Amino acid sequence: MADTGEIFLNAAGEPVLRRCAVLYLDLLGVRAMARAPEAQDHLAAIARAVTSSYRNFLHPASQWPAAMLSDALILAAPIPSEQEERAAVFGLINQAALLQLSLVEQGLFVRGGIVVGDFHIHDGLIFGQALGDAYERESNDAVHPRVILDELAAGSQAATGAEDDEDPAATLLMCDEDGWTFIDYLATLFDEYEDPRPRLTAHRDTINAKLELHRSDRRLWEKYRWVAEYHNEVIHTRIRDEAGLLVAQPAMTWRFQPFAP
Amino acid sequence: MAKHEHAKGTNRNGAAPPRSPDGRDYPEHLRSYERLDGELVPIVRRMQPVTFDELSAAVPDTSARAALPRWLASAQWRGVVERGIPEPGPRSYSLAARAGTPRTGAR
Repeated sequence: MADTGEIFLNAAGEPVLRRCAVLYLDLLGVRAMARAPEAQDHLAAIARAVTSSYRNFLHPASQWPAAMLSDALILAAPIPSEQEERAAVFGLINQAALLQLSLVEQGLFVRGGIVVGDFHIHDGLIFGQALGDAYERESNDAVHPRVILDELAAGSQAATGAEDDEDPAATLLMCDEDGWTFIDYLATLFDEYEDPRPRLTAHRDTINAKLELHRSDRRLWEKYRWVAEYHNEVIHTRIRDEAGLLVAQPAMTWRFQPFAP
Repeated sequence: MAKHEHAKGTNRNGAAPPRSPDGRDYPEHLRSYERLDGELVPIVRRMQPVTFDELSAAVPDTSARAALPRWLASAQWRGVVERGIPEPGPRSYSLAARAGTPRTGAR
């Protein structure tokens, strides 16, 4: 396969910035995983997620150049021309949804941001304003385990009304109450011919396990409570008669006890 | 009617739309990706069995490459493309033996 990294070099072989859609993902809890006695198992889980049955997201010749360092995963979609910006952002949204689902299915929840701007990634060198902007969206605005799009990235996916241009990302995006557009990664399951229920059941069980594990740590627990709300929204809107697939309310509700001196 | 649209309830050949084993209809939003058959089927035929990464590297057009996951999903629903036998690592895709025969839920 061709080395897509070559587009980040000029004719003299010097590094150059290119306009890209950039995804910055933060894998929650990875620093603690690296220090845990089961670090080897956690490493294997991360490797399974990024080299999934779907694709190798870190393939050196990937059409979406990528890098992973510590708990951050970066993916880019070069934008060859202004006319191709909408398609390039859509391509990155597709990849982000599939990557997020793959990570979550290994128990790895993520927070992230997608932006459009100047970026460079080649031979281990990662640089550019888009990297900083995507990191800021992740660290300042995402808050929950969701991947949000900045205004430019989200705006690029608005319907144009053109005959051959049917708002392609609409079924992969959701809007949160705080105004952020985020990736509806579970939507990819409903594109598949295979029954989505077994994977939705596994998703529910993973959330239940996280909610139980972190019940005494409110900061962490609230993150998984948001995922539970998202999961239930997907079930309610896409499989209306499947109450058994929902995260049960007691698992995602605050518990109080009387004062007992 | 736009060139890639079909009457609701039919596919581009006018046949009944595919249905999954669990009773779901072919997702309406996947219909628009059928227009990429002419560009992508010959590439799959030439490279099969082919992984997603190999296929995406062989698609020069940004728009078609961006839509590749959706086109593969659409093509599998319609029986145009099928997955290879599961093995460790990324799965492979090939043209189905009876390419284009809509899937009806029978396995």
